[in-house]
Amino acid sequence: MASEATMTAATATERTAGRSSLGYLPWTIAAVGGSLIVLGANLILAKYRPNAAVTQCLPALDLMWGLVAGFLLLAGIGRVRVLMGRELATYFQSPLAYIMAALYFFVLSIFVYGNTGGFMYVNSAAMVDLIAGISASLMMLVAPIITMRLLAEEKSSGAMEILVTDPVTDWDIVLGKFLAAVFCVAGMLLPLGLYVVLFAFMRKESDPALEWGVMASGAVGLICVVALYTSIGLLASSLTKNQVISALVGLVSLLVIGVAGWLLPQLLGQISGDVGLRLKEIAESLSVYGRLSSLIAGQLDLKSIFFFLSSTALVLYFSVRAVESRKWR
Amino acid sequence: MIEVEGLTKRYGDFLAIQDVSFKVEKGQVLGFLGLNGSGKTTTMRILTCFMPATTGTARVCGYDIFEQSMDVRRNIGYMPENVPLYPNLRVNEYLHYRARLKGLGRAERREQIAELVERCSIQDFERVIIGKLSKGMKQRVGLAATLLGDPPVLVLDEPTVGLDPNQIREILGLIKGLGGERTVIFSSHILSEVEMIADHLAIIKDGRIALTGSLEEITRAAGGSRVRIEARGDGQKLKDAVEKVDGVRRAALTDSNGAARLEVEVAAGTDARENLAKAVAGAGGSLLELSCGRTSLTDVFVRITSAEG
Repeated sequence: MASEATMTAATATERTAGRSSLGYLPWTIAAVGGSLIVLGANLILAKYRPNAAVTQCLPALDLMWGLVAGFLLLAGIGRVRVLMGRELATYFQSPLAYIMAALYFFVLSIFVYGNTGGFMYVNSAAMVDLIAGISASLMMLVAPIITMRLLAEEKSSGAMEILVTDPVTDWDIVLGKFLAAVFCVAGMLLPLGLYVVLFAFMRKESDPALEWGVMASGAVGLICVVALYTSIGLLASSLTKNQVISALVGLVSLLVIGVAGWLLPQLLGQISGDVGLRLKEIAESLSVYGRLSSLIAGQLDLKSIFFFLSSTALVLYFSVRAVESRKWR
Repeated sequence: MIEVEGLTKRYGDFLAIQDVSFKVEKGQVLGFLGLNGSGKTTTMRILTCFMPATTGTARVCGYDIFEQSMDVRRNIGYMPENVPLYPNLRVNEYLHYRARLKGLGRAERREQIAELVERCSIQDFERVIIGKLSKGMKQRVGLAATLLGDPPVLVLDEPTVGLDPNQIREILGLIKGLGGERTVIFSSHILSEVEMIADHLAIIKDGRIALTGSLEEITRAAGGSRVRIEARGDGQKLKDAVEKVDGVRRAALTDSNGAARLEVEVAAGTDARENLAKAVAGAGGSLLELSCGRTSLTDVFVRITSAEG
């Protein structure tokens, strides 16, 4: 019996070894190689073109590349990539993502048109403030709707049972779905590039100069916010079988988080004395609204980035625990 | 290949399964038999690492299901009840997706899918969207996906539920063809299905294993014959008289149309017909019919799973 067991174990390992394709390697190479190129570009630009527009937004571009590299490294895990691929295919096939993207851009454009007086006057920094602010608010609606089916549908159809008994970990499942949703929602932000082009062309001599650094930093802020919102939507989806409930829970939590981040520092500031000041500081440092505002204003501080990334990771961890809850419920 | 030892699963106060133990050797087909809600699915979910047991342990292919969950999952093909597939994918897309999840390389994937598609006869439906397939077709796609990666152990939960008789025969034929090279556990609440393809049997009742063994062992142990008596007379009196006859295990009385009908179980190796006829006459009854048959697996199953126990 014992020898039979070891024998089957041996054949099993052989088979898994035979199965491994390139897998992780190309993605790691892309991430590392890309980082080297970015580093080189940084040095060259800083040396030979210190005053170019690109050089102004180098820190923001570097950070964006950092996010992309992280994405590449995670997607390099074969199982995560497979799960992500299926979700992305579903997004491309179903009309939901297109509808949300169109809705988002339509509502945003109304505001932008109104605030520029039909592009009569272009102030890029003010525009970044406006676009990023409205985008972040609209994403409170978009993100939970995009993520609502991710885990809820698996559970209600019973496909979850197949998924978790296949050789993938719960982290693979959550990461695969998260990356697909982030990719989808971040993709909706791409048309914002059109505005940059528009601003560049419509700007008149009398208008203030385009602030490339602020725009890039605002883009980084938006991506960070999208990642956090998506993870919260995913957590909502992991808690229920019902997609509508998932979307509502996600929406309400995001609204509460948004309002609390804006209101709490003011309320706590009312408390007199040193305590009130300290509490206000703490509330401000934990406020999504406050963190985003500083990024939008062009202050590209690593603390804010770290705040978004770590809170996203924390929410993803909770989602994994929720997927695991089948084990102890 | 599969050793289950004392599995117990508790949902709050509800004891889903209790001290379940059985063994399946390599190449055996085990029919896991029980009424709905008796704990079949719970046991299978524990074996396939969907959730842990409250107490007890099990080993699949020599791997512990709690300690080496990944290795166990690589070696088990699990098809849950009702075969949940993704309705928006095409059949071949789904098969490729599952194959990639199981870590198969490109060449291996193509080869295995081509083979399995033929084996499960779904060649003509490869490009069809799963949502448009019939139940039986979905079942076959599910089975093909379960067989991807060539797992030595298959766990199939109610593979025939919801199918028409023809589809049931086809699926059972497929499963039967899998035995020998693979170890198969499949659950069902329909005995005739299990009899058709299983060589071993585990009957579960109220979360406890009531009986395990090979089909022959079980029929032999349950052996003996069953005598049906129809007689005119006082039913209760007849029953008492019949029960006193040598070799009679028990008798059940069903009254119908004035005549008493008795189902009598007789131990193996005794021919009690003559004594039974005398007993009926002795109790003042007039014999109308006396027929003799062998106890079948159905009787065993009914006796074990019926409420009287």
